[in-house]
Amino acid sequence: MAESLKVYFLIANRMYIGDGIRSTLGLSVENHYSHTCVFYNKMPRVTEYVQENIDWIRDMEGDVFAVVDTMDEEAKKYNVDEVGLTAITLEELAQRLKEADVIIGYGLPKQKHAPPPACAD
Amino acid sequence: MAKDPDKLGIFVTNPQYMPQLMKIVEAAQRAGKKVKIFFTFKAVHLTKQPDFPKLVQMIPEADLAICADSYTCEGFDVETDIPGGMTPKQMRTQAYHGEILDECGKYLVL
Amino acid sequence: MKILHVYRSEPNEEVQKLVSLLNEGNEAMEFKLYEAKDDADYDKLIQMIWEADKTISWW
Repeated sequence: MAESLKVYFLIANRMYIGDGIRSTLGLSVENHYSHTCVFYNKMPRVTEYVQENIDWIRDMEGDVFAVVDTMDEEAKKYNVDEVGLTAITLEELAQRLKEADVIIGYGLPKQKHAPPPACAD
Repeated sequence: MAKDPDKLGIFVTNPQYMPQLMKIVEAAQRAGKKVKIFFTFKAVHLTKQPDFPKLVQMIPEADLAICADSYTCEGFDVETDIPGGMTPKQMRTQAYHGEILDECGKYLVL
Repeated sequence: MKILHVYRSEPNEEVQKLVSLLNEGNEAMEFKLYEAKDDADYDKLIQMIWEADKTISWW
């Protein structure tokens, strides 16, 4: 049996959030302590599928964080109070990353513009 | 399985680094190292780049795969449109990323 | 521990802050992938990956 690793997916780009959560879960089910860290953005619409993935990650001793001091008030309130992501500050995250085995800068950088209606959901 | 200290796992999440990926693989091979690569989400679009079949030829079948679900989610057909030079065995799940972490002594994300 | 930070694009303020906190008590190296051009740059990257205990690749 391979060693269980502490893994953190860091997600800066809104288009990558849903898939980053899926990929995080992919390592949870491989017996790693797998975490998603959402930076900057308000979560896209949380489908039943995404919610199930978040719950499953937590059942497998991982978590899905909102890095709150990178977010505006609206995003912070929505991600933490409505979606239920675990609030974490950049400093707190850094302490966790110091203990991490694998840190994954997932996908594209933060985008500068708000999503147009075609991909806002 | 023990980690291979001479193997670089590359987790490709990004659809815009094909030239860089090719150069990293070439440099690793020049240094006598092996690579194991997994393409996920938007990075599966790299399978449509002209250099992709060349990359497939450079790497043993067991050491290169793409996420079949991502490929389907991006609109491609996993049965009738297997990317250049790949086999159906290389259409995999996220568990392949777990294999990379288990097997590779070194790890890079693109 | 020796950490290699690979920057795929120019690091922003938050990345710089995390990198600085992670580097505390460690030896750090960096590689700017967005500036890499020729084979020699990539040979250097491979050499650095094998020299480092951990590689972190930032957006």
